[in-house]
Amino acid sequence: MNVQVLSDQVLLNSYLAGNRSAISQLIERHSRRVRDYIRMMVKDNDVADDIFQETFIKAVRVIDDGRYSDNGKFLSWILRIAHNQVIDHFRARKQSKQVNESEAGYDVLGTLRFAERTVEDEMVSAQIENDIRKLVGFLPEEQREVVTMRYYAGLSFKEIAEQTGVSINTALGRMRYALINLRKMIREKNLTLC
Amino acid sequence: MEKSDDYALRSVSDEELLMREVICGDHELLYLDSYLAEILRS
Repeated sequence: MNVQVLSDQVLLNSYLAGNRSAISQLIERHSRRVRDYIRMMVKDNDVADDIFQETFIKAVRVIDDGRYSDNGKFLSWILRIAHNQVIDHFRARKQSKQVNESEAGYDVLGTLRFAERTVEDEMVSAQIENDIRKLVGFLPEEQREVVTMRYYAGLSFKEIAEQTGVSINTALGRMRYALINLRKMIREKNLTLC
Repeated sequence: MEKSDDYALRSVSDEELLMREVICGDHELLYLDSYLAEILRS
């Protein structure tokens, strides 16, 4: 099993066993990604910081209440909470200022669909993950290769470039197009990520 | 041109390369990258 997955699980278990500092370490590990995600959507650092805090307060509350079912996807879960907090923020703006949807920020929400995951969604989640894995197989060979090396083998972009005999720029470009193509396929198949 | 570009990129962290050159401010791609990393490695 991947060390990163073990580490998130270990920290969570440690926190649940009473080690309060473990949750701080877990939050710190993922804070950059979560903060960047929120900033990309709200485009305001102060608002992003507030939503960032609300996100982790909510996450810790769910964990403390025993409602978090660990499945090795802690970061994805946190990002979905952050996404929903951003939606709430836009809704509140829309209501308080009588602004249209574009002014409220709804136009930046994108088209990927996320679901709040419950324990009952285990089977659905597993099926969706299986579907996503199959979509990787439909990517052009060069993009599939980068995806395989990065996600399955955990290689850095520099390592991928070296092993495939291309420049780092080319490897990065292939990765970007791989993600864009996967997003397109996910939308076309109406998959809801959870 | 490519080699000199690569030389400059070698000193940049992997995460920074991802954010600057792959994600490019697109939050959906950031989510997808995080999600794929978790489901494909498990």
